[in-house]
Amino acid sequence: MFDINKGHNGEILLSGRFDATHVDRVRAELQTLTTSCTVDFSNLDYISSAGMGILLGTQKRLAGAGHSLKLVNLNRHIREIFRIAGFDNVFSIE
Amino acid sequence: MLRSFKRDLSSLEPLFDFTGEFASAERLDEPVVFAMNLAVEELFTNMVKYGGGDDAVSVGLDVRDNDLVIELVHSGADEFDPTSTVPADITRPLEERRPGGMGLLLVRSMMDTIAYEHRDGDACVTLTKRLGRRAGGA
Repeated sequence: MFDINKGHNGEILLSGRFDATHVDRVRAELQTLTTSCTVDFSNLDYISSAGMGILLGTQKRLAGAGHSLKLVNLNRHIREIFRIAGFDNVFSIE
Repeated sequence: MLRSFKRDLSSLEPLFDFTGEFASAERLDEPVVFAMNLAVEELFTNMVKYGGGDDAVSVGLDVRDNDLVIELVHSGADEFDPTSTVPADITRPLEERRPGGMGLLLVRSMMDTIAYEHRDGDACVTLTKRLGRRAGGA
């Protein structure tokens, strides 16, 4: 079960298991972003490289316009694979 | 446990059900389950994207000598060695980063061994991860 929603403050809320079958849905949602945004991982249990590639692509696109994604509330497993992938150098992670 | 899956991304849901069944039966720890799911997804999606061959991939999960052993076999597949691909270069600045190679980088980091063999026309990838259990302990 995976879901993506907008929070009350415009943040992106991810929940469940973000595997390769959900890439198109998330890409479509993130493509609408034109300014900096927070992505809240509070209820996300799992992500693979397919989803990480979408986040990376969005960060590159936003950075070109002086904006960025901020990633918050990652569980320890996701935080670890983001560290392995060097995401702590290209994202603000809280 | 051994099960065959249609070589399509729609198989990820039943594939995760399968790893979940195995994790419950073996009482695997949460970090091991996360690593197992990640490794299985990354290698299975690789087999979906590349390799031709049959429309099914068999996935075997086992615990042997305190090692989690994962084996994916794609019958009739072209020779494609995922262990020889170049992992993502995470030292590159954002504008030069590419998503390619990230999955294999994660698999190599999360698992202890990864081996590829093209055997009798089948592409076989075997992964192991040492479990933190004491011998003979529960």
